[in-house]
Amino acid sequence: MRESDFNVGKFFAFLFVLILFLFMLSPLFEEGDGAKIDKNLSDIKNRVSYFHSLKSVKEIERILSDNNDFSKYREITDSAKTVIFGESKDLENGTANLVTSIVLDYRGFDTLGELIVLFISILGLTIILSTLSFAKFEEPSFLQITGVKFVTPFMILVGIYIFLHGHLSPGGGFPAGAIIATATLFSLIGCKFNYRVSNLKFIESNAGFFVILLATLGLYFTGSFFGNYLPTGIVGKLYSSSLILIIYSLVGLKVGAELSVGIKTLYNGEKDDDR
Amino acid sequence: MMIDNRTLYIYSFIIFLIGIYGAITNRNLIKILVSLSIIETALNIFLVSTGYINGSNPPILHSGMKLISPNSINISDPLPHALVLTAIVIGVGTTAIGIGLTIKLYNHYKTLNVNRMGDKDEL
Amino acid sequence: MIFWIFIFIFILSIISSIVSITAKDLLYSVLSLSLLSLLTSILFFILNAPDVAITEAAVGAALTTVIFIFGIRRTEREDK
Repeated sequence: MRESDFNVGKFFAFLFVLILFLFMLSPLFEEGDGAKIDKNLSDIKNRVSYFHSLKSVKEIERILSDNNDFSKYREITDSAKTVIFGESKDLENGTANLVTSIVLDYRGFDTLGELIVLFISILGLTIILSTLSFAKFEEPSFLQITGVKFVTPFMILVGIYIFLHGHLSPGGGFPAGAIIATATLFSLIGCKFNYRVSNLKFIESNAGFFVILLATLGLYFTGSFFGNYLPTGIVGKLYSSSLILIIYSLVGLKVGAELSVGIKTLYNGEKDDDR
Repeated sequence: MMIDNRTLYIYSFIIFLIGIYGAITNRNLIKILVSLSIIETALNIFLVSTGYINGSNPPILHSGMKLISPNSINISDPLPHALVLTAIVIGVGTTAIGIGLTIKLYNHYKTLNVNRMGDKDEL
Repeated sequence: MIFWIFIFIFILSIISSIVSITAKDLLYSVLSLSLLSLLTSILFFILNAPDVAITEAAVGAALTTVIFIFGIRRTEREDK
């Protein structure tokens, strides 16, 4: 009885998915007033990110607020500055990685909300699993212990390198946090190294507090939340864009500590933990 | 041959719909979570492919590179990359909370099948 | 060259996503999800997004798989 019902359900699900596919294809090939993919968008000059990339958003805002004429969009585009690696200095933000300048400067609120969502989800995980205690994993072998003791310090070193160079090379705080959490997972499984959850929570809460404190100081110095009030330096040097460097390091520590707490909770439950 | 943006959109639609099919036909809780992860991956591919511009460079300045307005700007759109970067890390948090709920439900009902969860008292 | 790599990723990722929603063994399903994440990170690198590629490789292919495997370990392995 149940099996035949299941097959009929599969057939209708396939039909539903097929009709949904035709619906999703229609805006790609239709000629009309509805939603469609514009040909002009294949050039970055017609997008908002153009101003983010040239690091001249404040100037554009000032010009637009003077005469409030959006038909001069093209002329404004022509008046933007030139950015040269290793020579330009005192720009709006001095990051060579444009994604980092968007994540932490132009769209800083987005990142702050993301940190809060991650914090709440790990909090929910620890609350859900708080009454359970799990069976132990089996003991690691000699090969596992030796290999993990060799590999783990290098993984933590790679994580620290990635979040310190988040403004110069691909990477940043979020993948660095994931790599640090993987290192703690290795040492948990491989050699039973027992992290104290209270230390991880100390790192995580202090990093979150300092991120919000530094962002709020921007409200005092520049008039905008997440505003950049430290000197930006020359594009391409390690000590350029000081505020972004500091905030991304704190974000890396916070994400790494949070994901480590989640993994440790899934590993041996909250109950038999040494708090 | 070059990669067209429209091909990438259709590719992400296909993976998205495979995930939808899995989420509505499977009865196992962990497989439903796997289907949701597939849907999330497809959405990330869609968002990144809206920022892809044919024959461009990565949006990272390296030595000897200039951004001169308005002619020789030749990079991909960095804005969708920033959105997807945060979305991936949120995805791991939601997956962890889903696994936590699954473990809790398994400890209560002793099964992962959604259909058999209600009739614990009858068995 | 890049185009043929893209076609390879296209076919292999569709196969791995179909396997991950139909396999009876949950471990196979989770491992093919990990393969899908790895292929997606290569695709992100082709699409000029190295930041997203690094994040996807660190998170999607390592941490998500580990969390799913902990979940299977705490519950049961086969789809009945």
